[in-house]
Formats: sequence, structure tokens, C-alpha cells
Amino acid sequence: MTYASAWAENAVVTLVVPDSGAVYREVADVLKAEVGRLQPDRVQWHVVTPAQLESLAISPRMVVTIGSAALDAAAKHRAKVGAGETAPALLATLLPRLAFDRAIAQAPNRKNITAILLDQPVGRQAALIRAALPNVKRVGVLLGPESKSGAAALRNALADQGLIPQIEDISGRGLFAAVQDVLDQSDVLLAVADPAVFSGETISSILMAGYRRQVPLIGFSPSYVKSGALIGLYATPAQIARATANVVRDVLSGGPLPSPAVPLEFTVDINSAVARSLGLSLDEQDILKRMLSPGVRP
Amino acid sequence: MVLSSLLPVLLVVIGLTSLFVYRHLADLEEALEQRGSALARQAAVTAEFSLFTGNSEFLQAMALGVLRTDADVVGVAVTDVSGQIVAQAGVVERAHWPSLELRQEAGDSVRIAHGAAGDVIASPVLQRTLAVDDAYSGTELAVSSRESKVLGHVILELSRQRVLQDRQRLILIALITGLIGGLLGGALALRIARGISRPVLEATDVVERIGLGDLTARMNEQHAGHLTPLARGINAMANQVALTQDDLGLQIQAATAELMVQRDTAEQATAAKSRFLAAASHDLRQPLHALGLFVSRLAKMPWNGEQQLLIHHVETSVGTLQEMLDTLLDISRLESGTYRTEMQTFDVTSILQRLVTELAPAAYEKRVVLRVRFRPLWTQSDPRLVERIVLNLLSNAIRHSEQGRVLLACRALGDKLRIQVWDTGTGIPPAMHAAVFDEYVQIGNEERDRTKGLGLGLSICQRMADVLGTRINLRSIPGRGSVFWIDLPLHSPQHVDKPPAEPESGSLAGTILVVDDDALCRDSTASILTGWGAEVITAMGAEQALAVAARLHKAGAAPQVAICDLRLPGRMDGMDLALELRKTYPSMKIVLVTADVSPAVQAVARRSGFPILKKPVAPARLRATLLSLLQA
Repeated sequence: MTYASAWAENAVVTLVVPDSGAVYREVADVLKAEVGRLQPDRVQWHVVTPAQLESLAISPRMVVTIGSAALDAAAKHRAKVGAGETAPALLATLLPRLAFDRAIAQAPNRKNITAILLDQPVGRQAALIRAALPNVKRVGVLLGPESKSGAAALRNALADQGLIPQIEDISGRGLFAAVQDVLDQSDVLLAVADPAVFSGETISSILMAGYRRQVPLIGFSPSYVKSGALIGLYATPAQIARATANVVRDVLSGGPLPSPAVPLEFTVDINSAVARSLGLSLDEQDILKRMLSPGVRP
Repeated sequence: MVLSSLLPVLLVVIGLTSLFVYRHLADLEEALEQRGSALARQAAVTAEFSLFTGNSEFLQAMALGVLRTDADVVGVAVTDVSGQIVAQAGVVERAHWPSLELRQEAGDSVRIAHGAAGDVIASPVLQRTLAVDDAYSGTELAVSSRESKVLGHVILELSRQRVLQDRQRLILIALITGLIGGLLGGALALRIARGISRPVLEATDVVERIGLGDLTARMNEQHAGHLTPLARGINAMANQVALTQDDLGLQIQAATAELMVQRDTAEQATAAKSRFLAAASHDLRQPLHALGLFVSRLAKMPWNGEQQLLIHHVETSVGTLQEMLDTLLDISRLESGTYRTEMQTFDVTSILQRLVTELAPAAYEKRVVLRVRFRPLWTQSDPRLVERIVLNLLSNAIRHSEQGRVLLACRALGDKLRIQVWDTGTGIPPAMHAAVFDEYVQIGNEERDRTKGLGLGLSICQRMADVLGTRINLRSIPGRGSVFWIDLPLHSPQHVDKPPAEPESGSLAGTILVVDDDALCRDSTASILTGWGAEVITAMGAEQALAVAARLHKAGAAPQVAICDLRLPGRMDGMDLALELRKTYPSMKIVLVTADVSPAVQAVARRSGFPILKKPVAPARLRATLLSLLQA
């Protein structure tokens, strides 16, 4: 019970939630519920939208942002106030690493900032491919100017699972040419969260091109699965919220601010229509089991 | 009627056809546009990926496919984002294209350029976005502001030729349909109109015929259609009218029959009256005849003054009696219609002269100056009726002119002959001019002195004039006098033997046989003949007469003249006796006497050639006849 003494009465936590978007609300709701379950009646939530953050008068123990926009607003606010060492801890959640890095690049006192990220670890992605598609050898990856820094880690992770990475950088060439090349040499295409490569504008063409060559796409969000990716590997909003709640509890209990991390919980989502079209028979539970089996390193 | 029944149908047909054509023409245009737009949109969607990949072969194939899909598409082109044509099929004319302005469009709205030959539809090929930009991709902020990116355009050139053909075909079909509809509708309307108008016309005709009296006219109820109740009504009415008419007809028939019976009865009564009059006058004539003869004989005897006056009065009374009897007889004959005119051509002056002679004594008695003014003029008429009419007029004139003047005149007036009787008498008021011709009307005889006649004179005269085809005219000024006249047809003079003049006196020397069953008549005749100096032998019947004649003939004193009554008892009547006597004694002269005034008897006598005298015979006439026979 060492934690209990560390709790201040009525710990105020500011929760920055964009006013539109079911995902944000779900994360907020689950977060509040989970924190309430872990530490009943100890947290006073102060929920604001990114715009309302401008006129924030109180001084909370902690600021939690949901999504990259909320983080952007909080980072700007923090820079404006110039809080320095006294600034409350900032926990960003539900955003990819690239967005997190971009948002806090100019923020002061970066040690006081952490995040629960969406990016699945490359090893987990490689393990998924191994477990779900045992016959796949060549894995295509398209990287943009921002995401190409992760190319080495990717290559290693894929190779560890006995897969042949086919990594193409779209920088300096047309997207279509890069897509053509990588699809010609791949059995599966692994999407990474880089808006320069994968966006609403490009995804249909990339999916179409992949469909023409019978190359399935491994997506990183529920919407990719919905749009036509064969498999999605991601943490659901509830899983993210639970991971966030754990951090909030630890911080409010006086624990140290952890480094940005990915939730341990994750989900494997399969678009059964695409699977059927490709002549595949996939089952999420089977895949999860195989991913956790000794032969596969998650 | 026909036009008004056709009009609504024609209006409906024209209206519906026009609406149909208008709507379909608009639909055709719209359908072409919609189809083109849909094709262009579909092609744009299909072309998206190929434009993205720059796959011009696929685009070319797609363009050809689209061209073949729709016959109205004459050209298909696909342009890239810079407007360059990357694929083309059919004929495309860039000049017709709508603006392909490269702006970021909101939505995938197509643009249409309407040309004379057809439409050109341009549909932008848009890069579709999928909702993958969210928190996971860290790009959620840009989602709302992002717009679809234009990759190029699909351009469709559409020909309106088929639409025009369809339009012509549509108009043609509409016209034919309208025509057929109009004809059918018109025929139906006409049929319905006829169904009304024909029964109405028939009803009009039937009513008109009924009005003209054709009560058998009926409407045909089977063909009256909607107007069957009217037809039934008219027929019922016609039946009722016919029944009423029949009823009336029966009533009229009954009334007519009754009238016929009454008329027959009246005619029978008239005939009976006439027969009675004829019989009565016959029976009256016999004694009257005898009375006249006796009185005449009596007057010849030497009497003192008082006796002479008495006998003269008796003579006058007998004359009046004879006149009245003749008048009654005439009336009865005229009334019964048995009077037969005997038309002759004769000189009226002979009659007028005789009348003047006859009436001169009466005129003298009344101190009336009787003057005449006439010359021989011939006419064709019944002399007896003419004589009686003029006698009446003249005696009336003398009767009503106390100490005045009477003029009898006769003159030719064109093709007519006018006999006038002027008097200076009391005159007749204009109000009485018509009445004087009525029966029993007498002017100035309120005391009804029968010596002044019965008041039948002018009435009878007018009837006689009617029989002669003329009429009696009257002009009169009260206090100044009157003039009566009749007009007769003027005839050219003819030569005839002058009738023997009646000798005024002279004795009859000879033997005369008088045959009459009536003792009174026989004796009166014998008496007057004896008075005139003749030797008279009498016989009661034919047999006795023949025996007497034979006895006298043997004695050498055969009678020169025989006076035979026509009606005799026994086997032989007067006519048989006369014929027998003429046969036996050719030199014997025979005179027939009869009271029978029936035309049949007179005709028989006339045919025999014997002179015939009617009872009562005026003594003067009897003597004149006998004198002429004895002198011949």
C-alpha cells in the first residue's frame, strides 16, 4: 500500500478528447472506466477538446491526449505556457510513432512526455505473417521519406522469421512504379503507417493493383481490413485504453513516467471475404495460437 | 349535333396524344442524357485504376466497349489529368467538348455540352478515397478537408439521330393512335348521339303524323334505346288518342244515323205533305172548276142590279180561290222538288202583252195607270215560271199603288234581258228588303186581307227565280215607289207559229160530247157550253161515250168535238177513249181535261198530241180552245 500515500486528494487529470470520432470517445470511456476500476474515486477527470485547451486555467496533475490532433494541441499549449519542469506529465495515446515524434519535436521538457503508440512491433508483424500465411516467402514493404528509417529493423525482423523482405522506397519515383515493382516481387504486402505511402487516396489503387496480382495486404488498422486488407494487426481502442489506464495509475501513484510503448494486447483481424476470394481459410484464434507457439516469436 | 357529340372526344384524343408525345419526346431527350451520363460515370469509375496506372490499352478497350454498348454513342475519349487524349474510339470532335477545366471538383458531377447533332458528356475520373485515414495512420486531421483528386476525364459523344428517329416514329405512332382513337371514339359518340337523335327524330315524325290525323303512327320501342320510355309514352298517348277518336267516330256515326233517320222522316213528311196537297188540290179543283163554270153561266143571265153585284162578288171570290189554289199547288210542287222546268225559246212580249191584258181591268179599278214599254225580245227559259213571276210582281205593284202609276218594261242589257216592274206605291223600307222575300210577309196588310193574297207571292217568285237560275232584285224608296226586276238570258229571235189568239166572243156552233164521271163537272161544262150556243151530249164513262158517238154518227149528227176527262171509271180511261174516238172518227176533235197535275200524266197527254186543259178550266180558255178546234 505504498501507492496510497502517494495519492493526493482529488487528483485532477485533464483528458483532451477530439469532439468528433467514435474511436476517441471509446478510448476515453474505457480509460475512465478502467481508471475508476483500478483506483475508485481518486481521479477527478477534466475533459476538454483540443480547442478548449487554449483557455485551460487549472493546473492538473496529468494531461492525457487521445489522438495525434489532441497531442498537437497539448504540445502547442505546453510550449506557449512554457511550463518547464513544473509542467504536468503528458501522456499521449492512440497515435503512431511518426505522429508522436513529429508532435513533440519542438516541445519543451520532453522527458515529461510519454505515449501509448499504435505501431505494432515489427517482430510481431513478421510473426503474424509467419503464422497466418505459412507459404509466404517474400514480403513487400513500401516506405516513404519518414518511414524509411525503420527499414533495417524491418528487414531483420522479417529475416528472423525466415521471410524475404522486399523493401521499396517510393522517394524519388512515382508511387505507381514503386507499387508495380514491389508487387512483382512479393507474395504479401505489409503496410506501414506512413501517410506519404498509405492514405485514403492511394489505398484503393494499391489494393486494386495487389488484387490484380493476387498479392494480399497486411494492414495496421480496422479500416484497412474493412477496405480490403486481408489481415489487420492492431490494438483495439479498448486495448489501448487499458494500456493507457495502467500508465495513468502508475503515474498518479507516483511511479516514474514510462517510455513510449505499444500495448501488450493486440488483435488479429481477418477480412473473410478477401480471404475467400484468395482461396484462403484463416481463423483468428488459430493464428494467435500459432503466433504464441514456440516456433514463432511474437 | 354530330359536331357537338364529336368535339369532346376529339378534344380528349388530341389532348392526350399531344401530352403523350410531349412527355415522351422530353423523356427521350432526358433518357438519352441520363443513359449517356450513366455510361460516362461508369466508364469513369472503370477508368480510374487504368488512368492511375497509365494502362492505355485497357482504356482503349474500355472506350471501344462503351462505344459498342450503346448505339447512340458515336465517340468515346479518355483524357488524362493534363487533358491529353490517352484512349479514343469512334469519332470525337474536341471542339464540341464541354470545358474540362482542371479544378478540384466537388463530387463526380458530369458536364454536358448540347450540340446540334448530339450531346457531349464529360465525366471526371476521380481517384476514390477509402476511409483509412484515421488515428492509426496519424492523418485524421486532413480527412475532412481532403477532396477527390481528378485523374482525367471520360468523354462520350452522343448522337441524337436515333432520338430523332424515335421521335418521328413516336409522332407517327401517336398520330395513328390518335386517329384510330378519334375514329373509334367518334364512331362511338356518333352511335350514342344517333341512339338519341334517331328516336327523337322518329318521335318528332310520329307526333307530326298523329297531328295530321294518322293515328296508326307508332314508334318502334325496340330501337328507341335510351329513349324507350319516351317511345312508350308517345305510343300510349297515340293509343289513347286513337281510342278517343274511335269513340268520337262512333258517337258521330250514331248522331249521323239519327240525323239520317230524322231527315228521312222529314222528307217522308214533306213528301206526304206534297202528296196530300196534290191530292187535295185535285179534289178541290173539280168542284172549283164546276163552280167557276156555273158562276160564269150565271153571270150571263139577265139579273137585276143587286143580283148582278152579288154574282160579280161570287165570281171574284171564285177567281181568288182559284188563284190561291194554284199558288198552294205551286208551293207544294216547288217544295217537293217535283216541278220540272220546260225550257223554251220564246218572245217575252207575248207573255207580257197577255198579262197586261189580264190585269188591265184590275188596274182600272184601282185607278192605276198601267203603262208598258217593251219590244219583241227572245229568251230561253220556262215561259210558265216567267209568266207567274211577272204576274206576281205586276199584280203586287197594282195592289200597292193607289191611284199611282205602274210601268212594265223590258229591255236588252248586254247579253241579258231585263224585265222591270216600276210602281209609285208606298215603297219598302231598306230594313225590309230582305224580309219581303220571306214567306207570309206582307207590307201594309196588317189586317191580313186575304184578297191581298197569302203573302206567299214574293217568296214563291224568288223560288221560281232560283229554279230559273236568276233572282228577283229590288230597289225601293219609301214613299216614292219601288222597282222589281229579273234578268233572263237574251236569245236570238226565232220564227215560230203564232199561237192562236183567243177569240173574245163568238158562239160555238156544233155538237160537243162531254165525257166526265163527275156529275157536277159534267153538268157545269155542259151548262156553259150550252150557254155559248153549242149542242151538248154528255156521257158518264168511255163505253157510254162510244155508244152515244156511234148512235149520233148513225144519225148523221156525229159530234165535232169531244171533251174527255182523263180519269174515267171502267176499263178504259180518258186517254184510251180519246185514242179510240180518233181511230173511229178521224174528223172528230178531242180535248183532254184533267185535274191531275202530276207531270207523268201531263207527259202522256202531251205525247198523244191532244190539247189538254187543266181543271179548273177558265171559261175563256175553254171557249178559245173550242173555237180554234171548230174553226180548223
